[in-house]
Amino acid sequence: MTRVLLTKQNGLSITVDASKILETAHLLKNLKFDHVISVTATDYPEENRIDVIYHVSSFEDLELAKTILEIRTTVSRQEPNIHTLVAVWPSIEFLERETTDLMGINFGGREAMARLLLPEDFEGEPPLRKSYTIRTEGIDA
Amino acid sequence: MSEEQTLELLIGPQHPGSGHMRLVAEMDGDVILNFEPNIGYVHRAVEKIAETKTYVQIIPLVERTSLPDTANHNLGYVLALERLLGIDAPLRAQYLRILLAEINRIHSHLYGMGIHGNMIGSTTMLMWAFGDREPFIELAQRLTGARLSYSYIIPGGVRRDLPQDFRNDALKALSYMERRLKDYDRIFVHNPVTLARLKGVGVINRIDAARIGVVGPNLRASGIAYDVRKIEPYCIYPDLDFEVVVRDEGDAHARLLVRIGEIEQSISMIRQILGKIPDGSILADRYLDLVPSRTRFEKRSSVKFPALFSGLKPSKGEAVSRVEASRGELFHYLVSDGSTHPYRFRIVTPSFKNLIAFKHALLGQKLADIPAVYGSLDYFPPEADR
Amino acid sequence: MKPKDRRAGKLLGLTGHMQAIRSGIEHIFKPRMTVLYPEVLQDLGPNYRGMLKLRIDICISCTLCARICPSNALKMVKVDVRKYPGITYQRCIFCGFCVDICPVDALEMSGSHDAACYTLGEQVLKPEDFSKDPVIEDKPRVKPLFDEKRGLRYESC
Repeated sequence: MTRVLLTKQNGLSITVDASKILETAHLLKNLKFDHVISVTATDYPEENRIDVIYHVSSFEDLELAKTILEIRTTVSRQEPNIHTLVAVWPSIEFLERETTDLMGINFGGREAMARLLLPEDFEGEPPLRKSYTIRTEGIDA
Repeated sequence: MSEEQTLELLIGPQHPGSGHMRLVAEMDGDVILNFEPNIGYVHRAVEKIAETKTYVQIIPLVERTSLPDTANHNLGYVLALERLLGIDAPLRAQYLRILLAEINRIHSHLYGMGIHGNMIGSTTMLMWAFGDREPFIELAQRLTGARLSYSYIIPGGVRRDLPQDFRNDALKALSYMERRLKDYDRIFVHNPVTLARLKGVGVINRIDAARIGVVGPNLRASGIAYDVRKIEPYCIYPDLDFEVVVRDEGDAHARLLVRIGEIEQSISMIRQILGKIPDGSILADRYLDLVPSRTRFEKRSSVKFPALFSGLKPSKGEAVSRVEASRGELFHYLVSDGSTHPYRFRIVTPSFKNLIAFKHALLGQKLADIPAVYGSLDYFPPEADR
Repeated sequence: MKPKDRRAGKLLGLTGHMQAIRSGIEHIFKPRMTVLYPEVLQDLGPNYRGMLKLRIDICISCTLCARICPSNALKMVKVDVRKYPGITYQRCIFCGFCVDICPVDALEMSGSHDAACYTLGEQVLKPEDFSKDPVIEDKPRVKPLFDEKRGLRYESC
């Protein structure tokens, strides 16, 4: 199901099914949304889902550039698969690779790439998932 | 006869002009066929660390992503946080924010220009630019108390008021810089050696620039007049008179000229700010009222934090912000679950967006053009890796 | 390129080189923005965020400084019955948040940032050491003054 929401800051938010992401991207590209600002994945372990959020905007149409369009979609934690958008928006190249590294999302339909930010031999839980914990300290010595 | 084949050449990561990154170039003789940057050597997982810190503690953390450009990173984060908290800074604080942001833009561009000069063999430009950062760093230090890591912009305002004599000192520094820009022009910017190294090198045309999504001066050097300060003006930019510096060539020299033009624009903006900065409070009343009266009305010109700052709790929700940092559009996205720590913090820095330019601008160029193009992109590895 | 254009290009190049050289030579004789650190120290001004000092007599042990410290440098240490902040300079980033949040002004910053230690242990200060004045070296100091022609010039003070 697709939902369109007007967010607080005059931005638009579209929620789509993960299987429709490529179609949606093509559609938006034709509306002159020509580049991706960010790809964010947020982990919700209790609900067994990872939200993948794309923020897109335009350079060619400076009126449209005033909007940041948000595309939200959800994948499961066990099978975090979604189609790559690199063919639609080449500017997504490194953003997708970063998300693969740090959140373990598989962007299908593009050739397998070496790790970008993490060491080549890194193994284990993707570090941005909530199940990867880091040590914190209290205020006492 | 041996079979002809291409060579994979590794440049870096041990910093011979590669920065903290490794560049993999596929070479056919002297010509680059394919170029792949390999980053992450200074990745510090800022987004993960942020999830364990309180909202105010993240201010120094976001600055560490880009030490030459801390004011703009500080500002971008605080704008997102203020949207979550639903608070605005008083007008005087907004002027002070932009004052620091533009001082920072000048010394950040000088930093980039100096490194660029050094990369193509003009050590004079390196020494001059780094020397001339000093008056601006000194100005910022008098305002904030630190040379680079300002942590000056806080939710609801700024930490310190303008010191006495700041206006006169700043005006002197600005006229000095204008004088120096003419010197730069003769010794570096229009030096025949610089022209020969940079003109027509590393061209990104207008269509490609939009397609691959480069940002900041690199985008504007390719003919696209996109500047967040005009597109989605924040703080007091609507009240300032300035131009977006655009050039059409898209080559390494155009990127250099755009930065010079932006220094000139920043000089003009700082003059306007100093001329019309209004009197008033520098912290929102909502926070000022929480500060104990004993320390509140002191003669010193700095604000006291309310105790609340050790554990700010924005309501549940999300906020985005974008600002024009020195290297381009900086994007922050905050998700709050109503606790004292962000649930998710996303930061997309301009250098990370500009990384893709390496893959495109260097194709078909000569090996010796790598430093010339690298320097012109003003790429800062710690900012990209975060 | 026609021979005539080439000659014009060369001439242009020559003028450019001459201008660059002239500009460089002019600056040989101009004074530099330099401080002979560490023989001479730069005065950092009254607002500088340097090394910290605790005034243990007015500290109310509210723990706010330790709570806001972004780098876990300030920790509450037990002295007799109460807890007071101690600091480790291995971690301190001189953001000054602790000074600004202290409700009774028990923390203050000094204009010094260049203390040196022989061991790492010396950089961890217990509350009683934290209450002593930071080491300020007795060396000639210069104050930077802004100048339209020279950027900054340094005057001894």
